[in-house]
Amino acid sequence: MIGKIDKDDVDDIEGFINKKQSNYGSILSISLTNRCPLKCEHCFINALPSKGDDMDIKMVSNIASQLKDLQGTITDIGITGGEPFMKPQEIKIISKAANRMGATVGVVSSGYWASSRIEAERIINEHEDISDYNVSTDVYHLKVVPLTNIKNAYEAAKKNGKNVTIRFTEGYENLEKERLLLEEIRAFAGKDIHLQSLIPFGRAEHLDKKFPFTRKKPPIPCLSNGPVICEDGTVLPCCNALIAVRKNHPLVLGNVATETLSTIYKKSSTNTLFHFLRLWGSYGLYELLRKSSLSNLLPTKHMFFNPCYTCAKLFSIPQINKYLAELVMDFELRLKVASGLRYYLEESIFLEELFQDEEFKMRVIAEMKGV
Amino acid sequence: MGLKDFSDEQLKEMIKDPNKFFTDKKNQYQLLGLDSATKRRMADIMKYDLQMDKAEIKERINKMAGKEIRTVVIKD
Repeated sequence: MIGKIDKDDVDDIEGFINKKQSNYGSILSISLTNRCPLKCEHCFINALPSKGDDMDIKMVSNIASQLKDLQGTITDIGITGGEPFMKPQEIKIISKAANRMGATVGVVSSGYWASSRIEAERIINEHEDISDYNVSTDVYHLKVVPLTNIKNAYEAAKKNGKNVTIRFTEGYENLEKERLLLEEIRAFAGKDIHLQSLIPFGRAEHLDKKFPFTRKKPPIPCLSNGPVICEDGTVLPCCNALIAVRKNHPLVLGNVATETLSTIYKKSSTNTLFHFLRLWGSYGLYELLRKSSLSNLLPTKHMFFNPCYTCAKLFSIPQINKYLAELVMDFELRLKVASGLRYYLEESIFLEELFQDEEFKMRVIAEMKGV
Repeated sequence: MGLKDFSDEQLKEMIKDPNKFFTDKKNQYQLLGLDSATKRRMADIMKYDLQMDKAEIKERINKMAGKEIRTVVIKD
């Protein structure tokens, strides 16, 4: 046993989480397509070469023209997919606009385009507004994209002064292969490696038989630092496993096809369910649902340190979505979330909005015993 | 715990200045309940149930949050 909790340690962990949760919205991710030329067996969004959707170029231009309205709020743009380099023209439109407003532009790619060093340099030089390259490789990607591509992309990007991170997905079935591959990557990328866990969702759902599921729910709040615009314009609060879920759930923040990005950002600051997850995580939501009549539908397998998996599982269940869509209208729950945001994260917009609403104030007055 | 537990005076204070009212730890706990201070519970779970030290907790959280790590740990 560790024994008595050191208060400073606990406070430090809370401070650590708080820091991670500050400035929600500073990173905006944009998925240009959910297609990908590869068909990796661990892809949690089930991306395929031909089947799928691309973001309409008019929508891309529309988003690009609106970015300046959020100057100062958005500091980083992440271009993602699918494979974003299937849409090079659209990458240029977004990255140019982002650059004009002073935001950093990063891209997440498999590096399939870096078939030679010369080709890698050509692509990187064509996209001068991109400053950060996140190149994915792991034992699953390696079956379709050779490691030489990753090295070409890494070295060409470095030579051109870009930041590069190799994103490596860890599974549990191929530990020795992963160890050897990591050593090979480290030989050229040094410490520019980011390890992330396989998410058993989409095509990866039944991939890893040794995946260490647990019955313990993840005790971590949602740590998303910004929304994602999906290829059909739907805006979701994060770009993790939730993007793989059908989009008719109460965490949808809006759609850029029908609303401005600024409006969606403003609306997101008063989304009860999303901020509930930021405060108490899928753990808290699970506990809340456990007390409802839907407890028999709740998932029993979790990734202990990944609230995203449990979150996506919960929002995959239509009955739960229906229940939560009604629950978020609950007067007291809205007050609890708004006050929690004020207290724990020092965000007061939600609370202020609530108390500007005369109807809401009347509900509070109705609680007075002397009334 | 909940809104019903507040006195009329507290509710008046809440309406008058909700920001100030909910900055008070006592008022916050009265609405949410101590058990709902999940961040503290999260730390408790990690330290007591999982017996993790601070460095491991931070590493796990960093990884989950998508933060770049600069040290690669090779599994032996």
